[in-house]
Amino acid sequence: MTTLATRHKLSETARNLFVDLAIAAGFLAALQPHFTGMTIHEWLGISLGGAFLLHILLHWRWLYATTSRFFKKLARQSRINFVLNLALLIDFTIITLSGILISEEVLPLLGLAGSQDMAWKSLHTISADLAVWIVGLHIALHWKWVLSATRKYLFGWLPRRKTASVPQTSTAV
Amino acid sequence: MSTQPKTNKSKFWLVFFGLIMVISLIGGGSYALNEAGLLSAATSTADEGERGTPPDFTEGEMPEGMADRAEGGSSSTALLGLGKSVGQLAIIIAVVYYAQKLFGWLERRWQKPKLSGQTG
Repeated sequence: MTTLATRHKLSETARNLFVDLAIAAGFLAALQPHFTGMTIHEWLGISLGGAFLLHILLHWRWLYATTSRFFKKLARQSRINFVLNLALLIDFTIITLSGILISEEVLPLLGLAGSQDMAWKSLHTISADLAVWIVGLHIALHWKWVLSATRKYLFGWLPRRKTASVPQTSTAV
Repeated sequence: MSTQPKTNKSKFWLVFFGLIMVISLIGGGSYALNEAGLLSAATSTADEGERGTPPDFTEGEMPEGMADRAEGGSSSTALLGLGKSVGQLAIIIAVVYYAQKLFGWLERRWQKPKLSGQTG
């Protein structure tokens, strides 16, 4: 029973890690339209919108628990995480919305014309620049988890470095 | 016991629809702000009505940097931008991670004499 529960938990961590790594790679690529080209940039952006939603829903239990306890007793770290994640949600919603509105490739495919409003273009750029900072903070606050999960699931096949056995009492030797 | 999965399911849908509602509110709110002309006012304060000088290019040609933006590729501009973003992320992560470690260490150091005084 315990083994099954542990296994289930481990696979959940691995799934979260792979989803997060895919999002991080996609986010970095989407930040550079020069690198991907506009068509890939736009489709990647829309896919990232869905991926962020998936990322949030994968952590729905945390979201439910933290939202219901936000104005009650809650750990400082959880409170900071919640505020940061809310900022990230607002920022990514604005990026995705403004991106869709100024689209040059995706909207014409659907027979719609993209907006020529410079405000949306400015907002898209500003919010994307801001996203780098918020995403950086988000990753930094979970860095311990990222390191341990990466070590376990990406580099777990590597032979472990043996730690030198330290004698319990130096006087005994 | 049997009600547990059902409760979890309803909590999940509550989170899902709550999320959709928040996203709609943010999207709708920013759209309404733009319609009211507040977004353009906020984002164009840096320009103050002045336009920057246009890049040099001859008629029929795309300005430098625009061609690879449309098609993509590993040009120096693209790689430099990618490197800048990765570097920026790395700096933020390093600063926050080590700042957290430092605060943790300071907190422990601050609390230590208090604890030893209590036990002794």
